[in-house]
Amino acid sequence: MVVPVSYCSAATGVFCNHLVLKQIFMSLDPRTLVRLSLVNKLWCSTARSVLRSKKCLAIIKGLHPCQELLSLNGVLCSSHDIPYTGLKLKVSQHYTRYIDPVDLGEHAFDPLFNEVVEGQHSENEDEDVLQSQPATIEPVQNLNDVSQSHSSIHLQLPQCYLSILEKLPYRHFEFQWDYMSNNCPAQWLLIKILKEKRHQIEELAVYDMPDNIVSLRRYLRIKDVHWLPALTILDIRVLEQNSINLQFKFQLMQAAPNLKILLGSANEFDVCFFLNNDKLSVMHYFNCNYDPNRLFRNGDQYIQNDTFLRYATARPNINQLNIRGPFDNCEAIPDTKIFMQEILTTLCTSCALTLTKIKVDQIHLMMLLPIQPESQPMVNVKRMQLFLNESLDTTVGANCLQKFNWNGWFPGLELIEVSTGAQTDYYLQHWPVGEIMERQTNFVCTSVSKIIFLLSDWDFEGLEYFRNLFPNVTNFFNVSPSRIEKMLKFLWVTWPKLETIGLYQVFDSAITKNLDSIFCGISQEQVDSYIKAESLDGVELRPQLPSILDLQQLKQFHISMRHRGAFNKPKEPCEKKQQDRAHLFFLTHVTAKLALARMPGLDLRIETDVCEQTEDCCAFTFEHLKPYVTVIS
Amino acid sequence: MPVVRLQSVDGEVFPVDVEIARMSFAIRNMLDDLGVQDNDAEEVIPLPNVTGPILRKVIEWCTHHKDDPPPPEEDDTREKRTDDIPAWDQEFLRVDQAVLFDIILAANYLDIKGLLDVTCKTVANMIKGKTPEEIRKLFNIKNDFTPAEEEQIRKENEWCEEK
Repeated sequence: MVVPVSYCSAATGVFCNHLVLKQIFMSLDPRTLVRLSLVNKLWCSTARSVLRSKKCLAIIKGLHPCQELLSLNGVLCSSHDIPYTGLKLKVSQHYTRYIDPVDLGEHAFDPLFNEVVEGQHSENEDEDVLQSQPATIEPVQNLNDVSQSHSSIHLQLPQCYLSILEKLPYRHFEFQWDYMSNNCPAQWLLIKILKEKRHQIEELAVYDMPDNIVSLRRYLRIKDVHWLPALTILDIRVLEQNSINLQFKFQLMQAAPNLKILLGSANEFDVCFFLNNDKLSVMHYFNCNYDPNRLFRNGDQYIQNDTFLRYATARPNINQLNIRGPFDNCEAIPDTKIFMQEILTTLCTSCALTLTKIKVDQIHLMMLLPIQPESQPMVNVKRMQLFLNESLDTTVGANCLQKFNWNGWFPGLELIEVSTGAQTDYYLQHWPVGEIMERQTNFVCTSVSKIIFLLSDWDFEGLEYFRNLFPNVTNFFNVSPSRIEKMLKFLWVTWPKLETIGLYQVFDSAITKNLDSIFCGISQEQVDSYIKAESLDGVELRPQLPSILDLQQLKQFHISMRHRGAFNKPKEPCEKKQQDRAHLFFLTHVTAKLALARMPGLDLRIETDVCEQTEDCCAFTFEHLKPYVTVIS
Repeated sequence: MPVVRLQSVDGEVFPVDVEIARMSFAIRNMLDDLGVQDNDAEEVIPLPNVTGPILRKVIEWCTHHKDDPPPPEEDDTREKRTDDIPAWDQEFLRVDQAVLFDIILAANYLDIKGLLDVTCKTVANMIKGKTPEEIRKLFNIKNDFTPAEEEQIRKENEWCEEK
């Protein structure tokens, strides 16, 4: 290729200028930057310089962390310009291969090993945990071969992991530690990093911890209360999912006097800590899924009502709020309602400008009804997850939502996720349905363009309310729709401006019927006659019922199907005996040629699991719908 | 409106509003250092690293963006978005790659942060999704690694977290 001289000089000028190159690279993600380091030396040094200014972890992700660390140490040993800003490490019962005394055989009486056994990590020991280093590590030649023998070299750990300790910066450190091992080199390294590199750690993510460690500081025998002085971001989201020990969380936060962001949540039992330790500013997600039976009582296991209210009025800087409850069999419903109404309205008012996402059930949403939203609309809330009672067609269901001033409270709301699971039956006995329904004004929410229905067997009578409530929906998604025929009929007539439909986790059992008549808006008899016809050339579809053709603005229709044959449980429509009926499942060429052919702008994709049956056997195929449908396995 | 005259390397002179010229921090410093007042209309500022056609493009961009608010302080640790280039800028930068690179160099030399930012984002979008070999071909870049050096870089990269 001949390159013009002027182009060469300009390109050279740009790509040889470290500062300009850096400016370009600042817009690129870490993965691209890692790839760019292979272009040439200047790109490599610039890409790595940018990576180091961001976050780039060396990650130990395989089944044998101890051996992987050894390999990483070897790479670091010969490296002069590493891209990493820290390490992600795991010490896990299932993955960590450590040297058991039984396995050591002749080394079992090694004085060095005996020292290790005596110095097991335990909170009851007096000596420093770092003196209790496992003495040996066995490099495994093939990391995938778990059964490989242990006969290999034995090295002292400090030398094994010397480069990891000395060359890696520890601005970022992440670890998963779910098992307290007696003699695990990876665990030894983890403890050493926490103890010796703690001053460098700016961002810490903890994915798992052994249950018996309540305080890392005590376990590590660190005297300084503020033992993580540089830490500004603490990520405990995964740990919270696995049930976190509150004392562990508090102690970790107390260790970080400069903490700015807690990636995780706080709940109704946490607020006292956040208030008393001046940590309100680090908490951005308040997750309150409360039990009303714990309100209005004293004791450690109960919510301290005064503290809860003090928290709500303290203008916490939260951007995500989850408030749900109460559960059934609650004894103190009336008092609970009054109290929670005060909490919720106070929170929504004091956090009106910072909130961006809200999870709430219909009971709590309605608690906002008596308040005038104009005083403090939540202008930045873009997304809401709404938990409803499944019986949407009852008087306490979705029609109540029309009494709520959506545009007043949430003028910028774009996406609403609708879930069932609001455990409201008992509570609804005290629900002022009459008072709500007597309100004259019905509201609509004009800002929502995207709606997601999650996990449920929906009451379609109730779904009708959503057409009135959210008239401007252009994107519709449903996860696990069980009555797909009704769902499709509902969609054809509900939002005429729909641009996107996504039906996910549709089980094959839901489509063993033929849906041509629903897609085409004609009778099954007509469909049958078209199927039997030798050719459909010249046939013009004239729908008598609502059909997909009513959605003239539809651009994307994505169906993701769970095929049970893929999990080795062949049933219809996978079974061989159904083979001759294969094309009668879901859609035939009739819909493809008569309806889809008239919607050239539509991208219809069907995604299915790959079947465990041989191709010849499985009848769950959609090849006959091509080229009007993109089939993805 | 006070005017300053900017002279490109090929001798072309462009009368420009001072307010617009001062969007370049390099010109702003020159004006301040020289003590040029707003009414010194005859003063010519030579710009030896910028050609006439490129200077014209730069002035066009600055004129369009003269009322923009000052760019916010940057957080170097955060990845910048590249899908937020305004439509006008996208159209403005629909030029040959050689011209685009010259504008980048001019923006860098003249220290016009907004222009440098938007042109670099444009190049970043060109780079995304390409392999090192494709990038070398696209921009005519020579691979100056020895095989051993390249192998070492590959090994180091293998440990990086993929997101």
